Amino acid sequence: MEKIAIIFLLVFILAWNSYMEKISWIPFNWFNIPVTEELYLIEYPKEISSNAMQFKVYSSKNYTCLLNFCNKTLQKSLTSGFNEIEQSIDDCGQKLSTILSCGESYVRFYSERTNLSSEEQRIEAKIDTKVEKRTLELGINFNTKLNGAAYKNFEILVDGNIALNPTYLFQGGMYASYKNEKISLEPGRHIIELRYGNKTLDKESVSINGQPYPLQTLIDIILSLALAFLINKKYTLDWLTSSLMFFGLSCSAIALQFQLQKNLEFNEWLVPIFLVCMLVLLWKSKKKR
Amino acid sequence: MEIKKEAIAFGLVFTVIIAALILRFGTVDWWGAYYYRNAQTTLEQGTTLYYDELSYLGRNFTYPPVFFQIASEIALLLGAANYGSVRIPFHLLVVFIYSTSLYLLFKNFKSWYERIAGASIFATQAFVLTFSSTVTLHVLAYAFMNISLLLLERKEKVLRLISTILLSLAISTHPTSVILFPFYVYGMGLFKIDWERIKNAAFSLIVASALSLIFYLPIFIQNGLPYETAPNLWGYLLSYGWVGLFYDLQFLIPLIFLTSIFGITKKSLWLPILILILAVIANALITYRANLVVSVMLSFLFPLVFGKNLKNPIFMATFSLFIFANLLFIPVLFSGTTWWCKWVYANDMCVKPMQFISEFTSTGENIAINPEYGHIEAYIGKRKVLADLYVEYAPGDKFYAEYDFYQKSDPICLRGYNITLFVLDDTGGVRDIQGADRIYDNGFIHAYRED
Repeated sequence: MEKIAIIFLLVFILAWNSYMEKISWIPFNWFNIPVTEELYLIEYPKEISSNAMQFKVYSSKNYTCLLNFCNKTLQKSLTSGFNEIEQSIDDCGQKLSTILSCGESYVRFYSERTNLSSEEQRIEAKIDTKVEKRTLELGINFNTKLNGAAYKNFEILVDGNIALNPTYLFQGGMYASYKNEKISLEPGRHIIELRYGNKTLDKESVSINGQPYPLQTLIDIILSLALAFLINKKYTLDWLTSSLMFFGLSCSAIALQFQLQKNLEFNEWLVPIFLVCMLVLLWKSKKKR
Repeated sequence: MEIKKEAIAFGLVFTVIIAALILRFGTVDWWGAYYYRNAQTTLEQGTTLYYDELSYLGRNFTYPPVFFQIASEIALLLGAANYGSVRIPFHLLVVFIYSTSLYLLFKNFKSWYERIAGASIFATQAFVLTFSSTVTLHVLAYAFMNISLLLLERKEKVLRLISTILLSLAISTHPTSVILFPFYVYGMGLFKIDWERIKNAAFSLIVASALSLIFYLPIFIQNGLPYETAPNLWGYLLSYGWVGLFYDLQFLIPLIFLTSIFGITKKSLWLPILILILAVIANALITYRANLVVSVMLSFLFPLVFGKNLKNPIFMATFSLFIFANLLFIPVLFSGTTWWCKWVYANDMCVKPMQFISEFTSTGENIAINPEYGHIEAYIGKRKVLADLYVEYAPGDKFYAEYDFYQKSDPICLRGYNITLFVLDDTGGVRDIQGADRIYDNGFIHAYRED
């Protein structure tokens, strides 16, 4: 007997050594999952009409970053959170490539200089809402006047909490555009608000209905319990197998109820009636083998 | 200890291990994300015959529906508006039911050490630990099958009928139950050819398959018979070769070797040993999904071959080393390797870019990403994805377009699909799209826009 144990032990030692060697093919970090750093662009220009370029970036850490544009490299200090960067582009040509490198990450965008006049810019919007079950379909009609094409970031709030910060590309000059968003909401009444730069552009109220309580499903589970209990008594099934069978029966009843009532639109009492019939038949039946 | 108490103790220990893995490594993963998302959609839509707007830029939902129906109804029964509120407790309950019923499948072994050896070999197989930690759908399907197998052992017609109903639910939850069921029946009969038993099991399987049409027929009528896109890349013909076998079976490989060598002396075990070896070869060269067949065969064969030796505490201790090594190494793979979100659990390296997409982009965006991250993008990022890993009924052109884009880092592969956001990761090498605005980076995953 011990001989086989020794063979097993030797095989285990060989296997362990082999696994330790092969497992080093991939880098492990079992109990030291790295904290990720993040860098992303929030707003940035595609066309620039003035002599200054502005963009907004998010950094997850305080960084001293390198800003590369127009064949120049500058150091920029970024704080953790949102940062607005403004840079003179006097010496730059018609096409610009801007790269911001912080730690292991970098972001990059391409833009062009344009001759649009630098007038006061304006963003206006009206929202319309439509509800489909738990989904809010939000239509946004924009009227914008911008000095150049740019990605702009908005806030959509639900009951005062930010639900979405979509970023849209707008053309330069006077421009009308339409955007569409779909947001899943909890049942209840909600206030929807569209904001840009801390200014509310439009607000509307919507109401969402939840699914009704599945009463028949609850009855199915109770009937499954009665069925399992009856089977336990009639067929001397042990309590553990009976409990497992109850789990199986109740889940089966739930699925069948859903399929017949909600998918195939049969009467919602079909499964409960079927289970009652099963119960009565079983009650009246003699124990047969 | 009586077998019922052993089963409950085994179920509790297994559930605690799974709970510890979930709590330690996170609750989101690249694979289960698909199931969480669609359970929530089922809850919101009140049907499983809906249009999945996010997968493949929009397609009919064709997945076997039973898990989604049960999950959404359980959430509603408990008064939850979201499946996420009940997901982990429900998952752990199903894991407990599954592991307890799994232990009972070994009840035909006379001694507890044979039962514990068989059950722990099965439970510590990498795929079993993986789906038990992440995908409630598989656990539920195999729990249905285990309970069905337990009742099939009984002679009473009523219990046989319930066994067949539960088997049909297993098939309607995950169709692989059809393939696994005969191997379990063979193992539970301790590899004896008993024609009466085989006839009963075959009858039950045929009737259960027919009953499962209650759930499948509406899908077939709406979408035709199932087919699979890219079977070699992600479908049922995916295999990872002998190296993959090493990661998949871990310390079960030496146990397979020892069981086959020592078992060959018993003529009655020749056929199961042959099936075990063929399943191992199939696992390596044809389909890695044969891994569960390997587990079933090994977990019933090992106690048969070493039953008497298992009484010896020294032998039992030596055998336990293999099981503990499995438990140690498989979570190592789980936790992933630094930032590879695809080793089951997703950490911040993978989750945060998806949160960026969810928060800072329009819900109308169409996204191209490594298809392996398609599910997690749709679940956390909540945006339409060109292709993901649900390859059944999937449009092949979309899958290959996205796959080629990821391999070549070239948006030209995506022409005609109106992709607005491109996502690349640095698995296996640095990737970039020159000439595109790089709007997000975390040193591993990058997002791009093109004008």
